Amino acid sequence: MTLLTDAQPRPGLLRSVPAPVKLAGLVVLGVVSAVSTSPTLLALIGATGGLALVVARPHWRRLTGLMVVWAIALVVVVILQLVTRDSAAAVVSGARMVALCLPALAVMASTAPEELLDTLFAATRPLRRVGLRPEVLALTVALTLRFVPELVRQIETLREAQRARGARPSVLPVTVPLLVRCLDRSRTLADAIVARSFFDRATPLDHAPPASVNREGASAHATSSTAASATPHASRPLVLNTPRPHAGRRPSEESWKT
Amino acid sequence: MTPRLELDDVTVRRDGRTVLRVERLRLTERRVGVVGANGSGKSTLLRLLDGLIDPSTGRVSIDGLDTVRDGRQVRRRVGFCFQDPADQIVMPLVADDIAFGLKNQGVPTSAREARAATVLDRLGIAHLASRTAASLSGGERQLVALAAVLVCEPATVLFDEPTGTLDLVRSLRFSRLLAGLDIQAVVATHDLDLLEDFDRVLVLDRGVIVADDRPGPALARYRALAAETQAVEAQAVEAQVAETPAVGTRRAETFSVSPR
Repeated sequence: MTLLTDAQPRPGLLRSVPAPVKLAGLVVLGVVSAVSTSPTLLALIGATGGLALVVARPHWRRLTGLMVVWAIALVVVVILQLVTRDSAAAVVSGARMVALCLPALAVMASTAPEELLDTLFAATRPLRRVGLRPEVLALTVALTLRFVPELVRQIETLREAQRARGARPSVLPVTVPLLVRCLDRSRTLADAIVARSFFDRATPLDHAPPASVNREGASAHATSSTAASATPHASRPLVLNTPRPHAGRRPSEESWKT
Repeated sequence: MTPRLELDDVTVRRDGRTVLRVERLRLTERRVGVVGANGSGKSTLLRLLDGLIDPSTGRVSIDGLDTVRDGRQVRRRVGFCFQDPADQIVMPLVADDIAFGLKNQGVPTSAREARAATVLDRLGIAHLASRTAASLSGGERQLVALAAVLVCEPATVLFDEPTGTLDLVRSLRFSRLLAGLDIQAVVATHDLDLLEDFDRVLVLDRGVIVADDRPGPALARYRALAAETQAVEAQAVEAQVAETPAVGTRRAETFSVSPR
Protein backbone atom coordinates (compact mmCIF):
# COMPACT_ATOMS: atom_id res chain seq x y z
CA MET A 1 0.00 0.00 0.00
CA THR A 2 0.97 3.65 -0.25
CA LEU A 3 0.10 6.64 1.87
CA LEU A 4 -2.46 7.58 -0.77
CA THR A 5 -4.26 4.30 -1.43
CA ASP A 6 -4.33 0.74 -0.10
CA ALA A 7 -2.72 -0.54 -3.33
CA GLN A 8 0.95 -1.41 -3.69
CA PRO A 9 3.18 1.18 -5.43
CA ARG A 10 3.72 0.21 -9.07
CA PRO A 11 7.23 -0.68 -10.22
CA GLY A 12 8.96 1.96 -12.30
CA LEU A 13 11.71 4.54 -12.46
CA LEU A 14 10.56 6.59 -9.47
CA ARG A 15 9.80 3.47 -7.42
CA SER A 16 13.43 2.38 -7.75
CA VAL A 17 14.80 5.65 -6.34
CA PRO A 18 15.63 5.21 -2.62
CA ALA A 19 13.08 6.79 -0.25
CA PRO A 20 15.64 9.06 1.51
CA VAL A 21 16.66 10.57 -1.85
CA LYS A 22 13.03 11.19 -2.79
CA LEU A 23 12.23 12.73 0.57
CA ALA A 24 15.33 14.93 0.50
CA GLY A 25 14.36 16.15 -2.98
CA LEU A 26 10.85 16.81 -1.75
CA VAL A 27 12.13 18.88 1.16
CA VAL A 28 14.32 20.97 -1.16
CA LEU A 29 11.46 21.54 -3.62
CA GLY A 30 9.14 22.34 -0.73
CA VAL A 31 11.47 24.97 0.71
CA VAL A 32 12.06 26.55 -2.71
CA SER A 33 8.30 26.58 -3.41
CA ALA A 34 7.55 28.11 -0.03
CA VAL A 35 10.01 30.99 -0.36
CA SER A 36 9.85 31.65 -4.09
CA THR A 37 7.50 34.27 -5.55
CA SER A 38 8.45 33.62 -9.17
CA PRO A 39 5.48 32.16 -11.06
CA THR A 40 7.86 30.72 -13.67
CA LEU A 41 9.94 28.82 -11.13
CA LEU A 42 6.83 27.59 -9.31
CA ALA A 43 5.26 26.48 -12.57
CA LEU A 44 8.48 24.67 -13.46
CA ILE A 45 8.48 22.83 -10.12
CA GLY A 46 4.78 22.02 -10.55
CA ALA A 47 5.38 20.69 -14.04
CA THR A 48 8.27 18.57 -12.78
CA GLY A 49 6.04 17.23 -10.01
CA GLY A 50 3.27 16.49 -12.49
CA LEU A 51 5.68 14.62 -14.73
CA ALA A 52 7.01 12.68 -11.74
CA LEU A 53 3.45 11.77 -10.78
CA VAL A 54 2.80 10.40 -14.26
CA VAL A 55 6.07 8.45 -14.12
CA ALA A 56 5.07 7.07 -10.69
CA ARG A 57 1.97 5.54 -12.34
CA PRO A 58 -0.38 5.87 -9.35
CA HIS A 59 -3.74 4.10 -9.23
CA TRP A 60 -5.58 7.06 -10.74
CA ARG A 61 -9.07 5.77 -10.09
CA ARG A 62 -8.36 5.47 -6.37
CA LEU A 63 -6.87 8.96 -6.34
CA THR A 64 -9.98 10.59 -7.79
CA GLY A 65 -11.49 11.64 -4.44
CA LEU A 66 -8.23 13.12 -3.20
CA MET A 67 -7.64 14.99 -6.45
CA VAL A 68 -11.14 16.46 -6.38
CA VAL A 69 -10.66 17.72 -2.81
CA TRP A 70 -7.28 19.16 -3.77
CA ALA A 71 -8.70 20.86 -6.87
CA ILE A 72 -11.49 22.42 -4.80
CA ALA A 73 -8.94 23.70 -2.28
CA LEU A 74 -6.86 25.13 -5.13
CA VAL A 75 -9.84 26.99 -6.59
CA VAL A 76 -10.83 28.34 -3.16
CA VAL A 77 -7.30 29.64 -2.49
CA VAL A 78 -7.07 31.31 -5.89
CA ILE A 79 -10.50 32.94 -5.53
CA LEU A 80 -9.65 34.16 -2.01
CA GLN A 81 -6.42 35.71 -3.29
CA LEU A 82 -8.28 37.35 -6.16
CA VAL A 83 -10.87 38.80 -3.80
CA THR A 84 -8.55 39.91 -1.01
CA ARG A 85 -5.44 40.82 -3.03
CA ASP A 86 -4.81 40.80 -6.80
CA SER A 87 -4.42 38.51 -9.79
CA ALA A 88 -0.61 38.31 -9.45
CA ALA A 89 -0.93 37.04 -5.87
CA ALA A 90 -3.60 34.56 -6.97
CA VAL A 91 -1.30 33.17 -9.69
CA VAL A 92 1.62 32.81 -7.25
CA SER A 93 -0.55 31.14 -4.59
CA GLY A 94 -2.08 28.74 -7.10
CA ALA A 95 1.28 27.88 -8.62
CA ARG A 96 2.75 27.39 -5.14
CA MET A 97 0.01 24.93 -4.21
CA VAL A 98 0.64 22.99 -7.40
CA ALA A 99 4.40 23.08 -6.82
CA LEU A 100 4.00 21.84 -3.25
CA CYS A 101 1.40 19.13 -3.88
CA LEU A 102 2.30 17.39 -7.12
CA PRO A 103 5.86 16.37 -6.13
CA ALA A 104 4.51 15.20 -2.75
CA LEU A 105 1.86 13.09 -4.47
CA ALA A 106 4.52 11.60 -6.75
CA VAL A 107 6.70 10.61 -3.78
CA MET A 108 3.80 9.13 -1.82
CA ALA A 109 2.50 7.22 -4.84
CA SER A 110 5.88 5.61 -5.51
CA THR A 111 6.97 4.79 -1.95
CA ALA A 112 5.76 2.09 0.42
CA PRO A 113 4.85 3.46 3.87
CA GLU A 114 7.36 1.23 5.64
CA GLU A 115 10.12 2.88 3.57
CA LEU A 116 8.78 6.30 4.50
CA LEU A 117 8.58 5.26 8.16
CA ASP A 118 12.14 3.93 8.15
CA THR A 119 13.37 7.15 6.54
CA LEU A 120 11.37 9.25 8.99
CA PHE A 121 12.79 7.19 11.85
CA ALA A 122 16.37 7.63 10.59
CA ALA A 123 15.91 11.35 9.94
CA THR A 124 14.49 12.03 13.37
CA ARG A 125 17.01 9.88 15.25
CA PRO A 126 19.09 12.93 16.32
CA LEU A 127 16.00 14.16 18.21
CA ARG A 128 16.81 11.57 20.87
CA ARG A 129 19.38 14.01 22.15
CA VAL A 130 16.62 16.42 23.13
CA GLY A 131 14.58 13.67 24.76
CA LEU A 132 12.22 12.81 21.88
CA ARG A 133 11.73 9.21 20.73
CA PRO A 134 11.67 8.80 16.94
CA GLU A 135 10.13 5.32 17.22
CA VAL A 136 7.10 6.88 18.89
CA LEU A 137 6.78 9.32 15.99
CA ALA A 138 7.08 6.42 13.52
CA LEU A 139 4.48 4.42 15.45
CA THR A 140 2.13 7.39 15.45
CA VAL A 141 2.33 7.64 11.67
CA ALA A 142 1.91 3.85 11.33
CA LEU A 143 -1.16 3.87 13.57
CA THR A 144 -2.68 6.70 11.57
CA LEU A 145 -2.21 4.70 8.37
CA ARG A 146 -3.54 1.59 10.04
CA PHE A 147 -6.69 3.06 11.50
CA VAL A 148 -7.90 5.53 8.87
CA PRO A 149 -9.60 2.71 6.86
CA GLU A 150 -11.09 1.35 10.12
CA LEU A 151 -12.45 4.80 10.91
CA VAL A 152 -14.07 5.07 7.48
CA ARG A 153 -15.61 1.63 7.94
CA GLN A 154 -16.98 2.59 11.36
CA ILE A 155 -18.52 5.77 9.98
CA GLU A 156 -20.27 3.71 7.28
CA THR A 157 -21.57 1.25 9.89
CA LEU A 158 -22.87 4.08 12.09
CA ARG A 159 -24.58 5.75 9.13
CA GLU A 160 -26.27 2.47 8.24
CA ALA A 161 -27.40 2.09 11.85
CA GLN A 162 -28.86 5.59 11.81
CA ARG A 163 -30.64 4.93 8.51
CA ALA A 164 -32.01 1.63 9.85
CA ARG A 165 -33.58 3.58 12.71
CA GLY A 166 -35.15 6.02 10.30
CA ALA A 167 -32.89 8.96 11.16
CA ARG A 168 -31.98 11.56 8.57
CA PRO A 169 -28.31 11.82 7.63
CA SER A 170 -26.71 14.05 10.25
CA VAL A 171 -23.27 14.64 11.67
CA LEU A 172 -23.99 14.56 15.41
CA PRO A 173 -25.62 11.09 15.70
CA VAL A 174 -22.56 9.66 13.94
CA THR A 175 -19.89 11.74 15.66
CA VAL A 176 -20.80 10.94 19.26
CA PRO A 177 -20.83 7.12 18.99
CA LEU A 178 -17.76 7.34 16.75
CA LEU A 179 -15.87 9.25 19.44
CA VAL A 180 -16.96 6.74 22.09
CA ARG A 181 -15.84 3.83 19.93
CA CYS A 182 -12.52 5.51 19.15
CA LEU A 183 -11.82 6.14 22.83
CA ASP A 184 -12.71 2.55 23.68
CA ARG A 185 -10.49 1.21 20.92
CA SER A 186 -7.61 3.51 21.86
CA ARG A 187 -7.56 2.04 25.36
CA THR A 188 -7.38 -1.53 24.10
CA LEU A 189 -4.85 -0.52 21.50
CA ALA A 190 -2.66 1.05 24.18
CA ASP A 191 -2.81 -2.21 26.13
CA ALA A 192 -1.92 -4.16 22.99
CA ILE A 193 1.09 -1.93 22.34
CA VAL A 194 2.31 -2.44 25.91
CA ALA A 195 1.68 -6.20 25.67
CA ARG A 196 3.76 -6.31 22.50
CA SER A 197 6.75 -4.83 24.33
CA PHE A 198 6.85 -1.48 22.52
CA PHE A 199 7.75 0.38 25.69
CA ASP A 200 10.29 -2.29 26.60
CA ARG A 201 12.41 -1.76 23.51
CA ALA A 202 16.05 -0.86 23.82
CA THR A 203 17.03 2.70 23.08
CA PRO A 204 20.69 3.71 23.10
CA LEU A 205 20.20 6.87 25.11
CA ASP A 206 17.88 5.45 27.72
CA HIS A 207 19.01 6.50 31.16
CA ALA A 208 18.36 4.84 34.45
CA PRO A 209 15.46 6.54 36.20
CA PRO A 210 15.55 7.28 39.92
CA ALA A 211 14.72 4.15 41.89
CA SER A 212 11.77 5.84 43.48
CA VAL A 213 10.17 6.62 40.12
CA ASN A 214 9.81 3.17 38.63
CA ARG A 215 9.48 -0.05 40.52
CA GLU A 216 10.24 -2.10 37.44
CA GLY A 217 13.29 -0.04 36.60
CA ALA A 218 14.47 -0.01 40.19
CA SER A 219 14.51 -3.77 40.26
CA ALA A 220 15.94 -4.32 36.82
CA HIS A 221 19.56 -4.36 37.97
CA ALA A 222 18.80 -6.70 40.82
CA THR A 223 16.78 -9.16 38.78
CA SER A 224 18.33 -9.13 35.34
CA SER A 225 20.75 -11.97 36.04
CA THR A 226 18.16 -14.22 37.65
CA ALA A 227 15.64 -13.41 34.95
CA ALA A 228 18.12 -14.25 32.23
CA SER A 229 18.92 -17.59 33.74
CA ALA A 230 15.28 -18.41 34.37
CA THR A 231 13.98 -17.66 30.89
CA PRO A 232 13.59 -20.55 28.46
CA HIS A 233 14.63 -18.15 25.69
CA ALA A 234 17.82 -17.08 27.40
CA SER A 235 19.69 -17.35 24.10
CA ARG A 236 17.64 -14.49 22.68
CA PRO A 237 19.05 -10.98 22.92
CA LEU A 238 18.10 -9.60 26.29
CA VAL A 239 17.34 -5.94 26.75
CA LEU A 240 19.77 -4.88 29.40
CA ASN A 241 19.14 -1.18 29.52
CA THR A 242 16.96 0.18 32.26
CA PRO A 243 13.53 1.33 31.16
CA ARG A 244 12.60 4.96 30.94
CA PRO A 245 10.40 6.28 33.71
CA HIS A 246 7.25 5.59 31.72
CA ALA A 247 8.34 2.17 30.48
CA GLY A 248 6.11 -0.59 31.74
CA ARG A 249 3.45 1.87 32.78
CA ARG A 250 -0.10 0.83 32.17
CA PRO A 251 -1.58 3.49 29.94
CA SER A 252 -5.14 2.54 30.67
CA GLU A 253 -5.53 1.06 34.08
CA GLU A 254 -9.22 1.85 33.99
CA SER A 255 -9.73 0.37 30.57
CA TRP A 256 -10.00 -3.36 30.99
CA LYS A 257 -13.26 -5.18 31.08
CA THR A 258 -13.95 -7.29 34.11
CA MET B 1 8.32 -27.50 31.08
CA THR B 2 4.99 -25.69 31.48
CA PRO B 3 5.36 -22.24 33.07
CA ARG B 4 4.07 -21.63 36.55
CA LEU B 5 1.59 -18.78 36.93
CA GLU B 6 1.03 -17.77 40.55
CA LEU B 7 -1.27 -15.37 42.36
CA ASP B 8 -0.91 -14.80 46.10
CA ASP B 9 -3.42 -12.81 48.13
CA VAL B 10 -4.28 -10.74 45.09
CA THR B 11 -6.99 -8.12 44.99
CA VAL B 12 -7.79 -5.63 42.26
CA ARG B 13 -9.79 -2.58 43.28
CA ARG B 14 -11.37 -0.04 41.00
CA ASP B 15 -13.44 2.97 42.04
CA GLY B 16 -13.33 1.68 45.62
CA ARG B 17 -14.83 -1.65 44.58
CA THR B 18 -13.00 -5.00 44.61
CA VAL B 19 -13.31 -6.45 41.11
CA LEU B 20 -11.09 -9.48 41.70
CA ARG B 21 -9.96 -11.34 44.80
CA VAL B 22 -7.76 -14.44 44.62
CA GLU B 23 -6.21 -15.86 47.78
CA ARG B 24 -3.90 -18.39 46.21
CA LEU B 25 -3.76 -19.76 42.68
CA ARG B 26 -1.12 -21.91 40.94
CA LEU B 27 -1.53 -22.63 37.25
CA THR B 28 0.89 -25.18 35.83
CA GLU B 29 -1.40 -26.96 33.36
CA ARG B 30 -1.02 -26.58 29.59
CA ARG B 31 -4.66 -25.68 29.02
CA VAL B 32 -6.54 -23.57 31.51
CA GLY B 33 -10.03 -22.21 30.87
CA VAL B 34 -11.66 -19.26 32.64
CA VAL B 35 -15.43 -18.85 32.52
CA GLY B 36 -17.85 -16.50 34.21
CA ALA B 37 -20.55 -13.96 33.53
CA ASN B 38 -19.78 -10.59 32.01
CA GLY B 39 -18.08 -8.47 34.66
CA SER B 40 -17.00 -11.48 36.72
CA GLY B 41 -13.28 -10.65 36.47
CA LYS B 42 -12.05 -12.86 33.59
CA SER B 43 -10.34 -10.09 31.63
CA THR B 44 -8.91 -8.60 34.82
CA LEU B 45 -7.35 -11.96 35.68
CA LEU B 46 -5.76 -12.25 32.23
CA ARG B 47 -4.46 -8.69 32.32
CA LEU B 48 -2.93 -9.31 35.71
CA LEU B 49 -1.06 -12.32 34.34
CA ASP B 50 0.46 -10.25 31.53
CA GLY B 51 1.35 -7.35 33.80
CA LEU B 52 -1.00 -5.02 31.94
CA ILE B 53 -2.53 -4.06 35.27
CA ASP B 54 -1.02 -4.12 38.73
CA PRO B 55 -2.69 -5.88 41.64
CA SER B 56 -3.94 -3.50 44.33
CA THR B 57 -2.55 -5.94 46.89
CA GLY B 58 -0.68 -9.23 46.68
CA ARG B 59 1.72 -10.64 44.11
CA VAL B 60 1.40 -12.11 40.62
CA SER B 61 4.35 -14.01 39.19
CA ILE B 62 5.28 -16.04 36.14
CA ASP B 63 8.00 -18.60 36.86
CA GLY B 64 9.06 -16.49 39.81
CA LEU B 65 9.14 -13.21 37.82
CA ASP B 66 7.00 -10.55 39.43
CA THR B 67 4.63 -9.00 36.87
CA VAL B 68 5.04 -5.54 38.41
CA ARG B 69 8.78 -5.57 39.06
CA ASP B 70 9.86 -7.67 36.06
CA GLY B 71 7.21 -6.61 33.55
CA ARG B 72 9.66 -6.54 30.69
CA GLN B 73 10.71 -10.17 31.15
CA VAL B 74 7.13 -11.24 31.81
CA ARG B 75 5.94 -9.76 28.53
CA ARG B 76 8.66 -11.68 26.70
CA ARG B 77 7.31 -14.95 28.06
CA VAL B 78 3.61 -14.20 27.93
CA GLY B 79 1.62 -13.28 24.82
CA PHE B 80 -1.84 -11.74 24.85
CA CYS B 81 -4.59 -12.23 22.25
CA PHE B 82 -7.32 -9.63 22.64
CA GLN B 83 -10.98 -10.29 21.97
CA ASP B 84 -11.11 -8.15 18.84
CA PRO B 85 -7.99 -8.88 16.79
CA ALA B 86 -8.42 -5.56 14.99
CA ASP B 87 -7.45 -3.86 18.24
CA GLN B 88 -4.06 -5.50 18.45
CA ILE B 89 -2.91 -5.20 14.84
CA VAL B 90 -0.99 -1.93 15.01
CA MET B 91 0.87 -1.79 11.70
CA PRO B 92 -0.77 -1.15 8.32
CA LEU B 93 0.83 -4.17 6.61
CA VAL B 94 0.53 -7.75 7.86
CA ALA B 95 4.24 -8.49 7.46
CA ASP B 96 5.17 -5.38 9.43
CA ASP B 97 2.72 -6.22 12.18
CA ILE B 98 4.12 -9.73 12.55
CA ALA B 99 7.60 -8.22 12.89
CA PHE B 100 6.48 -5.48 15.33
CA GLY B 101 6.92 -7.49 18.54
CA LEU B 102 10.26 -8.93 17.42
CA LYS B 103 11.52 -5.48 16.50
CA ASN B 104 10.60 -4.26 19.98
CA GLN B 105 12.58 -7.15 21.43
CA GLY B 106 15.65 -6.17 19.45
CA VAL B 107 15.67 -9.19 17.13
CA PRO B 108 17.82 -8.46 14.02
CA THR B 109 16.07 -7.94 10.67
CA SER B 110 17.19 -11.20 9.04
CA ALA B 111 16.06 -13.28 12.03
CA ARG B 112 12.79 -11.32 12.15
CA GLU B 113 12.00 -12.11 8.53
CA ALA B 114 12.84 -15.80 8.95
CA ARG B 115 10.72 -16.19 12.08
CA ALA B 116 7.82 -14.28 10.55
CA ALA B 117 7.91 -16.48 7.44
CA THR B 118 7.97 -19.62 9.61
CA VAL B 119 4.99 -18.65 11.72
CA LEU B 120 2.97 -17.46 8.72
CA ASP B 121 3.63 -20.79 6.98
CA ARG B 122 2.71 -22.70 10.11
CA LEU B 123 -0.67 -20.98 10.34
CA GLY B 124 -1.24 -21.28 6.59
CA ILE B 125 -1.43 -17.52 6.02
CA ALA B 126 1.83 -16.83 4.15
CA HIS B 127 -0.28 -15.39 1.32
CA LEU B 128 -1.49 -12.60 3.63
CA ALA B 129 1.99 -11.18 4.32
CA SER B 130 1.74 -8.32 1.82
CA ARG B 131 -1.91 -7.54 2.53
CA THR B 132 -3.07 -4.50 4.47
CA ALA B 133 -4.67 -5.06 7.87
CA ALA B 134 -7.77 -3.16 6.74
CA SER B 135 -8.38 -5.60 3.89
CA LEU B 136 -8.47 -8.74 6.08
CA SER B 137 -11.63 -10.63 7.00
CA GLY B 138 -12.47 -11.34 10.65
CA GLY B 139 -11.05 -14.87 10.51
CA GLU B 140 -7.88 -13.71 8.77
CA ARG B 141 -7.39 -10.99 11.37
CA GLN B 142 -7.68 -13.57 14.13
CA LEU B 143 -4.94 -15.65 12.53
CA VAL B 144 -2.71 -12.65 11.89
CA ALA B 145 -3.10 -11.50 15.51
CA LEU B 146 -2.25 -15.01 16.71
CA ALA B 147 0.76 -15.17 14.37
CA ALA B 148 1.99 -11.84 15.71
CA VAL B 149 1.89 -13.26 19.23
CA LEU B 150 3.36 -16.68 18.39
CA VAL B 151 6.26 -15.23 16.42
CA CYS B 152 7.69 -13.93 19.70
CA GLU B 153 7.78 -17.55 20.94
CA PRO B 154 6.02 -16.97 24.26
CA ALA B 155 5.82 -19.83 26.71
CA THR B 156 2.27 -18.82 27.64
CA VAL B 157 -0.49 -17.17 25.63
CA LEU B 158 -3.51 -15.54 27.23
CA PHE B 159 -6.64 -15.51 25.09
CA ASP B 160 -9.45 -13.10 25.94
CA GLU B 161 -12.63 -14.50 24.35
CA PRO B 162 -10.83 -15.67 21.22
CA THR B 163 -13.92 -17.00 19.48
CA GLY B 164 -16.17 -14.10 20.45
CA THR B 165 -16.17 -12.59 16.96
CA LEU B 166 -15.87 -15.81 14.93
CA ASP B 167 -18.50 -17.89 13.16
CA LEU B 168 -18.87 -21.61 13.87
CA VAL B 169 -16.47 -22.81 11.18
CA ARG B 170 -13.74 -20.42 12.28
CA SER B 171 -14.37 -21.20 15.94
CA LEU B 172 -13.82 -24.89 15.23
CA ARG B 173 -10.73 -24.07 13.22
CA PHE B 174 -9.39 -21.99 16.08
CA SER B 175 -10.11 -24.84 18.48
CA ARG B 176 -8.08 -27.26 16.33
CA LEU B 177 -5.31 -24.73 15.99
CA LEU B 178 -5.18 -24.19 19.74
CA ALA B 179 -5.01 -27.93 20.35
CA GLY B 180 -1.93 -28.12 18.11
CA LEU B 181 0.02 -25.35 19.83
CA ASP B 182 2.87 -26.44 22.06
CA ILE B 183 2.43 -23.65 24.58
CA GLN B 184 0.59 -23.03 27.79
CA ALA B 185 -2.76 -21.37 27.04
CA VAL B 186 -5.09 -19.58 29.43
CA VAL B 187 -8.41 -18.95 27.70
CA ALA B 188 -11.21 -16.73 29.01
CA THR B 189 -14.31 -17.57 27.05
CA HIS B 190 -18.07 -17.97 26.88
CA ASP B 191 -17.62 -20.80 24.36
CA LEU B 192 -17.91 -23.78 26.70
CA ASP B 193 -17.33 -26.33 23.91
CA LEU B 194 -13.85 -24.92 23.48
CA LEU B 195 -12.94 -26.01 27.01
CA GLU B 196 -13.99 -29.66 26.78
CA ASP B 197 -10.45 -31.02 26.37
CA PHE B 198 -8.80 -28.56 28.75
CA ASP B 199 -6.83 -29.64 31.80
CA ARG B 200 -8.44 -27.23 34.22
CA VAL B 201 -11.27 -24.70 34.31
CA LEU B 202 -11.75 -21.80 36.72
CA VAL B 203 -15.24 -20.40 37.30
CA LEU B 204 -15.38 -16.74 38.33
CA ASP B 205 -18.37 -15.09 39.94
CA ARG B 206 -18.29 -11.45 40.98
CA GLY B 207 -14.51 -11.40 41.16
CA VAL B 208 -14.08 -14.62 43.12
CA ILE B 209 -13.10 -18.10 41.94
CA VAL B 210 -16.07 -20.25 42.92
CA ALA B 211 -14.98 -23.45 41.17
CA ASP B 212 -11.60 -24.80 40.12
CA ASP B 213 -11.74 -28.27 38.63
CA ARG B 214 -11.63 -30.48 35.54
CA PRO B 215 -13.86 -29.16 32.73
CA GLY B 216 -16.81 -31.50 33.47
CA PRO B 217 -17.46 -30.58 37.12
CA ALA B 218 -16.38 -26.95 36.69
CA LEU B 219 -18.69 -26.32 33.75
CA ALA B 220 -21.55 -28.08 35.56
CA ARG B 221 -21.00 -25.69 38.46
CA TYR B 222 -20.96 -22.75 36.05
CA ARG B 223 -24.24 -23.85 34.45
CA ALA B 224 -25.84 -24.27 37.88
CA LEU B 225 -24.61 -20.83 38.86
CA ALA B 226 -26.07 -19.33 35.68
CA ALA B 227 -29.41 -21.02 36.38
CA GLU B 228 -29.41 -19.69 39.96
CA THR B 229 -28.64 -16.18 38.76
CA GLN B 230 -31.39 -16.39 36.17
CA ALA B 231 -33.92 -17.53 38.81
CA VAL B 232 -32.92 -14.73 41.17
CA GLU B 233 -33.21 -12.13 38.41
CA ALA B 234 -36.62 -13.47 37.37
CA GLN B 235 -37.82 -13.24 40.98
CA ALA B 236 -36.52 -9.71 41.23
CA VAL B 237 -38.42 -8.68 38.08
CA GLU B 238 -41.62 -10.30 39.37
CA ALA B 239 -41.25 -8.52 42.70
CA GLN B 240 -40.71 -5.21 40.95
CA VAL B 241 -43.80 -5.68 38.83
CA ALA B 242 -45.84 -6.63 41.92
CA GLU B 243 -44.66 -3.50 43.74
CA THR B 244 -45.83 -1.15 40.96
CA PRO B 245 -49.55 -1.87 40.50
CA ALA B 246 -50.31 1.64 39.31
CA VAL B 247 -48.24 1.21 36.16
CA GLY B 248 -49.86 -2.17 35.50
CA THR B 249 -53.34 -0.69 35.96
CA ARG B 250 -52.67 2.24 33.68
CA ARG B 251 -51.30 -0.09 31.04
CA ALA B 252 -54.34 -2.36 31.34
CA GLU B 253 -56.63 0.64 31.02
CA THR B 254 -54.77 1.99 28.05
CA PHE B 255 -54.91 -1.20 26.08
CA SER B 256 -58.33 -2.50 27.15
CA VAL B 257 -61.16 -2.39 24.64
CA SER B 258 -64.41 -1.56 26.33
CA PRO B 259 -67.41 -3.53 25.07
CA ARG B 260 -70.05 -1.50 23.36
